[in-house]
Amino acid sequence: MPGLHKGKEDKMVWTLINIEISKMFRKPRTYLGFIGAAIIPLTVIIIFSYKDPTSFVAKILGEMFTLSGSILNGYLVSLVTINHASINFFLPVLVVLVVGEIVAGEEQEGTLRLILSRPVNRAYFLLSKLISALIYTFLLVLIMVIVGLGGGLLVFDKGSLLVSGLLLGDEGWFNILNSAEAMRRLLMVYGGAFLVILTITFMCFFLSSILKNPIGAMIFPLILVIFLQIISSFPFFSEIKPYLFTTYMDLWVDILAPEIPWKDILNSGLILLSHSLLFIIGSFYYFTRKDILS
Amino acid sequence: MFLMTEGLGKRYGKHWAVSGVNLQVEKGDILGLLGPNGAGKSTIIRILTGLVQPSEGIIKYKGREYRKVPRENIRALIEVPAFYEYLSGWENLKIFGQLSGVKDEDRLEDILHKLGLYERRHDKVKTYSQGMKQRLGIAQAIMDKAELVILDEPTNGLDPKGIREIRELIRDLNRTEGITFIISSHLLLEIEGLCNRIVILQEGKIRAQGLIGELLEPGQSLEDFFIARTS
Repeated sequence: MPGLHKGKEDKMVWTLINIEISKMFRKPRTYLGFIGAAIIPLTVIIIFSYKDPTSFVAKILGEMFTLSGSILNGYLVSLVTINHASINFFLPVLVVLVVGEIVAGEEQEGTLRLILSRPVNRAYFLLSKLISALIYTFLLVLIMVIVGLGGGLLVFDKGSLLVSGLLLGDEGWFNILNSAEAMRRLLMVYGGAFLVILTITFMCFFLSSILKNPIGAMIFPLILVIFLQIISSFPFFSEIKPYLFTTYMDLWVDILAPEIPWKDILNSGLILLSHSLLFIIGSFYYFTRKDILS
Repeated sequence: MFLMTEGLGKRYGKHWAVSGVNLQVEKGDILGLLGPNGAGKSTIIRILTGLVQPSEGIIKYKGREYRKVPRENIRALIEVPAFYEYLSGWENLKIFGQLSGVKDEDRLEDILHKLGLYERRHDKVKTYSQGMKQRLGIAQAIMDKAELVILDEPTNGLDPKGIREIRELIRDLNRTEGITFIISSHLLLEIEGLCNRIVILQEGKIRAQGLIGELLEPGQSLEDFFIARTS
């Protein structure tokens, strides 16, 4: 009865996903992550409420431009949140906080041996963990969108978004986006940011699947990201730079350029996705074969 | 034979944790797995529960050959009981029950009554004593009428009254539901009083196995027999 067997397996997958998601939402650290994701845009909103950043930006842009009026609006809050606080360090920290212990935590605490000694398919079990990690990452980005973009618009209203590639660590292009275009581009930026953070999520997930110690799975991805970013800055590592996923972590910046370089963005996205795929395949390959000795 | 292994072995690097193990368990047995530390008891239990892949040998379960035992009808408590501490005892059991399709809440309540956990079932596991966690570990192993239950040091952390209660529960489940038990323990007196069959392991190999009544000479205690076979 292969149909019956498949039906049973489908039910098992859904049961596992259901259990994993409910477990995730019962853990205090999940909410710590969500609070963390809200704190950065809230902090930016509070700071900008007291101090308009226009004069600061004008000083950086120097004599190239003369700014009259205020550049402060909800879109700027959103952009500053993404650029200065989130993608390269803060969001990865929030990701590893939960994803790092998603499998390794169960192994360390011993619940993994209790689960896997039951009639549970290891691949399905890992799949349910992967889905809950994905949901958590999505919610982190969603919270930043709601608090950063939604909260920013609520407090500072709409307006044109002034973007300088120079301020975002890219080439010296300059762009002014009208309100509708700013909204469209920022939503795409969040999509790009999600793709970047997903790569970190899957790397952390891979480490959590192979390590017994969740602390290692939490710290190692952060150290690796910082390490790869440092070596990428040395000219003599230029040959390996295109192969490092950290090279593409700022792919979202190009989305704000006057002419969106779709080909480059697609290329960066594909490289990030291929890294993600490798991490996922590695997780399943190792986890379905490993001896549970904890 | 209900469960048997042929030439079962597990190697970690160059070290064989167990080798050439030919285990024999009849349906309805309460088998005591004995041996000093590092004898290979935990490795055998982990192989039988699918946590560890054997390096060699086969397992025959109800007449069929397996490289890995089907776990549909096997439950286990392995070493220290581990649960989701941020959930209640009841929620933990529900999770483990869902994984094996158990929906019989009446049975779950009955087991919790028998194990003295019923009143505290909605408390978070982090508030449980070691003895209560041990009882909860036994509850998850016996809650879904498995054919074979493997208990690794089941009376760890229990007081004498608790030990007696667990012993009586095992006997009762064995008699009334026909559950076969494999029990690993350091307490020889406990094994002698509970099990009908024993396996003595040392350095990863079986030193003795069979029915207690057939292995022990008249007047010989299990302790004397164990020492004679492992020294």
